[in-house]
Amino acid sequence: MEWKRKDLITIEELAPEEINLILDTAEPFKEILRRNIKKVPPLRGRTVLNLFFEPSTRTSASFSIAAKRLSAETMSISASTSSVKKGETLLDTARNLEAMRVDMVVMRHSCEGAPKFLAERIEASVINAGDGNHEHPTQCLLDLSTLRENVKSFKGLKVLIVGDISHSRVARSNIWGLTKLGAEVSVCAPPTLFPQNIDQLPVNVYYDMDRAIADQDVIYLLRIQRERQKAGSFPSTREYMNLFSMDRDRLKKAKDKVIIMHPGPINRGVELDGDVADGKHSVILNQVTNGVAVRMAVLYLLNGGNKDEKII
Amino acid sequence: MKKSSKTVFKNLNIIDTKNKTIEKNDILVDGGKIIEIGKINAKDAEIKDCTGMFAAPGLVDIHTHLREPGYEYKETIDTASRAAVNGGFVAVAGMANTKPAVDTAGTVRYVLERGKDANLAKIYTYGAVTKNLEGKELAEINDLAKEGVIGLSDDGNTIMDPSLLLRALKYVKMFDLPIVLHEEDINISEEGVMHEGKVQAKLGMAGIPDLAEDTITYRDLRIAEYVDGRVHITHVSAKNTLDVIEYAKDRGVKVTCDVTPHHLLLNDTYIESFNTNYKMKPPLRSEDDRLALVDGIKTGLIDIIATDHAPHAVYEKEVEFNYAPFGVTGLETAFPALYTKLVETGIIDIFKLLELMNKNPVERFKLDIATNIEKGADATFMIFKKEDWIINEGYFKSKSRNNAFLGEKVDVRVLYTLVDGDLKLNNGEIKKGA
Repeated sequence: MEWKRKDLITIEELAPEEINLILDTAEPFKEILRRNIKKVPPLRGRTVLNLFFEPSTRTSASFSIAAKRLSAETMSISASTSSVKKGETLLDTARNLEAMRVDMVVMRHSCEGAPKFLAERIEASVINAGDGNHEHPTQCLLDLSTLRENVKSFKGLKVLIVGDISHSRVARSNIWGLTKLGAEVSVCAPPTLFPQNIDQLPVNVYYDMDRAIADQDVIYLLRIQRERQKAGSFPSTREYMNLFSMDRDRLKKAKDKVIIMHPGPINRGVELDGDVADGKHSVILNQVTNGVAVRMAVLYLLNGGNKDEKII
Repeated sequence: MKKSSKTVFKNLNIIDTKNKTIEKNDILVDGGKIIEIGKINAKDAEIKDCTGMFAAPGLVDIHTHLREPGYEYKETIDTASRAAVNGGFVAVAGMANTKPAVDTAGTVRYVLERGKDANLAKIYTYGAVTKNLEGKELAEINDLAKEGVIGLSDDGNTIMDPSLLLRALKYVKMFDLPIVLHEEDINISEEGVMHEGKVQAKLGMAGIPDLAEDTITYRDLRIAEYVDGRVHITHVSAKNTLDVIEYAKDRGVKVTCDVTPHHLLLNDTYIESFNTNYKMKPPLRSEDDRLALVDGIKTGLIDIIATDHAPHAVYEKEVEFNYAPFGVTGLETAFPALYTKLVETGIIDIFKLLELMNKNPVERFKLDIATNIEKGADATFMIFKKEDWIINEGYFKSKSRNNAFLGEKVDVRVLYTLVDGDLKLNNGEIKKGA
C-alpha cells in the first residue's frame, strides 16, 4: 500500500492499513537510530518547520531530531517568539509560510482543529503534533510502535488508559489507534475527568482502579494536570493518588507481565510511582526512542517516500 | 414611501395565507396599497411579468443584530436593510447589544432614524432590560417604551440574577412589552464552544450542555408565571427546553418562543469540519434536538422562526474555532434554505412557513405589517421564483458573509420585495438610490 495523504491530522480518519504502513516504515528507522552515523538522505533539500503555539520540549525536540536524521533543514518557531504575540492571525501565518516555500509544517496548538485549518490553506504537508484536547497522532503511533515490540498481536490486547480522558489528546488518539488495530480499550478516572458522552467512544468505563487493572495487558497512565484540581474536578492530589495512582502495591494486583506506559512528562509520585516508572514493567523510555523513528517514518511518507525503497 | 405610479405584477401565483390557497392572478399596486387582484389590464401602469413566480406576505425577523452603532465594520443599519430585502424580509428588529447599547432614548432614536435613512426594510428595535446590558440595574424603560421599542432584551447576556429578572418582569408590565430572553446559564456553559454530546466527546472541545438552556428556562418561566409577566424565549435549541416551554404553556404562562433556521436545518456533526460558520450560541445541537425543533414548528409549540442574524468580519471568523466569535448571518438565507429543506420536502407547507415568518411575529410583537396579500392591504409583500442555485458570497448584500448555508444548493430565490408599494428589491437588485 502507498501513502496518499498530504497531511497527518488525526488517527480517527486513518484506516488500519495506513497505521500499519507507518509502523512498518518506522522499523528500518529504528535500526538507523542504532547506528553510529544516524543521518540518511531522503529529505535532503527539504524544509521542515516546527510551529509550536504551546510549550513543548520533547515533542518539538523529537520532531527536530527526526527531521535532521533525514537530512532536512529544520527550523522551530514557538509562540513566545512568533508573530502570534504581535497579533498575527493563523491565516496570515499560513500565507507567510506558504510564501517562504516551506515543505512541511509540524504544528502544535491549544485549539482543536488548528492543524486542519492550516492544512486546508497551505500546500505544504501539515503534521498535527497535538491540537488542544483533540488528537496527538504521532504520540499514538509511537505508543503502537513500542507495543509492537512487546506483544505478539493487537488483536484482543487489553489496554487500560488512566487519567484525564476529557482533556487528553493522547487518550483520544490512542483510543482510535488501538481499537482500529483490534485492541480492547478501557478507561479509568473519576467521572469528572470523562467527557459527558464517553459512551460514544469505543471504550469500557471504570471508576475503580483496582478492578480496572486486574485483567489488563497494558496500563497507560496519563499526566494529571494540577489545573484540573483547581477547576474542581477532584478535591486534592492526595485523594486522586489514593484512588488512581499506579504504585507498587497496585502493580501487584495487575498481571505479571503487564506493560506500563506514560506519554511524559511524568508527575513522579502522582499518577505514577517513581519505582514503577523505572521498573521492569515500564517501557516509557522506549516510547521516547521510538518517537524519533515513528516521526521519521511520518516525515518520510508525507514526503512521498516508499516503504520498500532502500534508504541506505 | 408612498408612490403614485401604478405597477402591475402579472401572472403571479398569489399565496393567500388567510384562505390557504394559491391562485394565479395579477396584482395592481398604487399609492402604497394593493388596489386590485385579478386579471388586470392597466395601460398607464408599469408591467412586471412574474409568470411562474409566487407572491407571499413579507418576512419579518424579530432577532437581528444590526451592529450599528459601534460595530459598523461588521454591518450597518443600511447593509442589514439591504440584506433584509434581498432575503424577502420587509421588517427586522435589532437587538440592543450595540456600542453604546440601546439603553437610552437617544440610541433608540438613532437606530430608528438610521433605519428610515436606509429606506429599505422597516427597522424596529429592542431596548435593553438593564443599563449597558450589565444585568445590574434596570434601564430607564419608560424612555425606551416612549421611543417605540418593540420589546426589551439583554440578548447575548443572560440575566443571571433571578431577583433582577423578577423585578424587570414586574416593572415592564406597565408598558405592556415582552422581555426576550437568551437562555444560557453561563455557570454551566462556561468556556464551551459547541454542543456537549457525541461529536464533542470525539473532538475534545469544551461543551455547552443543553442543561445550560433548559434549567434556566424553567427558572425564568416560573418567574414569569409568578409575576404574570410576558416573556419570549429566543433561539430555542434543545428538546429539553421545548419540554419546559410546553409545560409552561400548558400552565398558562404568557410565553412565546422562536427557533433559528440553522437550528432547524443543521446539527452538531457539522462541527467536525471546524468551520466557524457553524459556531454560534446556542450551539448546533444533536440530530434528536433538531428533529424535536422541527416537530415544534409543526405542532405550533414554537411560534416564530427568527434568524439571529449575527454578522462578523471575515478576519474575525477565519481563525481557530475556539477563537472565533459566536454567530452567523441569516437574513439572506433563511427563506431559501427553509423553503428548500422544509417546504419542498413536504415537512411543512408554505402556509406554515409564512405563519412562522410573518403572521406570528407580527401578531406576537404587535407590528404594523401586512399578513396577507389582499385588496386594500398595504403593498408590503415579496415575490420569489423557483430556480436551482447555490448560495455564494457574491449573492450577499450584508457586509459580512459568515453564513452557515454557504455552498448549499437551494431551489428558490427572492426577486422582488415591496414595502408600502415601493420596490425595495427589484428583480434581485436593491432599489437604486437607496
